[in-house]
Amino acid sequence: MNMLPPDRVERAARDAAEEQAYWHGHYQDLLRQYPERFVAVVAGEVVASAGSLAQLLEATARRGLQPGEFWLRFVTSDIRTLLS
Amino acid sequence: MIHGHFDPAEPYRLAPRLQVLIWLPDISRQLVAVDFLIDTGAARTSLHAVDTLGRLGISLRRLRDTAVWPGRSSVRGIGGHVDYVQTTAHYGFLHHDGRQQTIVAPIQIAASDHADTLPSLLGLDILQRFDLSLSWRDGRVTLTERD
Repeated sequence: MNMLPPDRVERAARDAAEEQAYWHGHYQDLLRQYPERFVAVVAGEVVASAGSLAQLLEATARRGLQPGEFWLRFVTSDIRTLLS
Repeated sequence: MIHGHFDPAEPYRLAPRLQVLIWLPDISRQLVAVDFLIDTGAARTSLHAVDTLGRLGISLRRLRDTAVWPGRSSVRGIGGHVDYVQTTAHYGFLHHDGRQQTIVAPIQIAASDHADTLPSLLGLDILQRFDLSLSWRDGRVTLTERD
């Protein structure tokens, strides 16, 4: 039984696939430009970066972007940063 | 059969991930895709700040409101002590053949942005419903429904 809002599932799934492809395709470039920083991406372009999640959300809010309206990720080459 | 992927970050490429649609009907209208780290060392599935604050738009003030979340637990893990609240989640899994599978089950939400780089974790409470196969050689992450 499908209990997720059906009108939004298809779009969310499509967006998820696009986002995953974006990170896989651009991660090395992002790592060179934004090492150890959070980045926010809209339509394939980095619109903000910051050293902490709180700072990134402040920056995106200043641009009028609400959570869910951009992709975000912490860009690192250090596995310890993600796990500790 | 559900396909996951390995993380694109070079030293982290060994880490298996799975995108799952998440809906928390009691607290958010957002339906989002969360790129969970598959963590067989985690007993319970949990959302962390990058997804709760950055995707679902749930504020820290709300997560810390004891009137909204009467029960909370403190969990010690590799990220240190973190306070969690709990709600009901609808997990949407997208199968390779286009079928969608929904699981309704609890989910823990970190009530802190202390470990803001920690990914959300897909734990054993959900993983045990599937057979999990990882092939680093072929770059494949696969979950198969258990009979």
